Amino acid sequence: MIFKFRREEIQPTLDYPSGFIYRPKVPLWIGAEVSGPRRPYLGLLDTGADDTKMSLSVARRLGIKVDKSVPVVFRGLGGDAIGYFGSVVFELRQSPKSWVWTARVAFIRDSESDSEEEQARVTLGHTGFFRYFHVGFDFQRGRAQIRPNRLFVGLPR
Amino acid sequence: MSKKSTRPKKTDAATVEQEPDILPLSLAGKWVAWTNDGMHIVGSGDTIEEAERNAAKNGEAEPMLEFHSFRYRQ
Repeated sequence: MIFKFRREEIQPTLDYPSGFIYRPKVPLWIGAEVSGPRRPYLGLLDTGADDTKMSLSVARRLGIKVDKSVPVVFRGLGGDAIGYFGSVVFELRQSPKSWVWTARVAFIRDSESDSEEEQARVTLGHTGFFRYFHVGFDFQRGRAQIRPNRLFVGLPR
Repeated sequence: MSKKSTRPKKTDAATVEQEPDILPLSLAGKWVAWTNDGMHIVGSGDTIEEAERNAAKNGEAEPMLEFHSFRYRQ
């Protein structure tokens, strides 16, 4: 599958004088169970992220059970955040292809300092995503090419 | 002398060149609802719920939602 980078208009900066930024985000469907419903989200391809992460509010929205007995500390630029792991079903689709798989992902606890943006942010990291897919980034053409590797265990759609 | 094939390579040509709508600065600070393939903007709002309602009015019952932050890098 090939996904074009997404073009977003931002306030111009020295590095982005045009006011446009291209982000490698892919549409993917997330659900709690294989046979259950899934909802669409945009996932940022982040090769520097150890884990696939999303907000705990996404888990609440989708009815995903998280294991709160084992809190995990995640360190980011904005400081530390507490997260919990849970199992989700992902589907990456681009007609006529569709890849479905399960993964353990981290759900980051919302804090008062969180921006609204955090509520729907999905970061695709090593566990849960890059472990299963070969991803080629083409910044000249502004696109990412994704294909499963041999560690990928697909599920029926 | 080796002959080089001039046949075009097989690609996902039908889907490759589809480019999503630009996320405009006019929607900065708002929730944006996309068609569920992530290609077109179908609504926006100050809250997730408002963006969802506006998407539903435009025929998208299951939109993809994101918050357009413009002040800082991701």
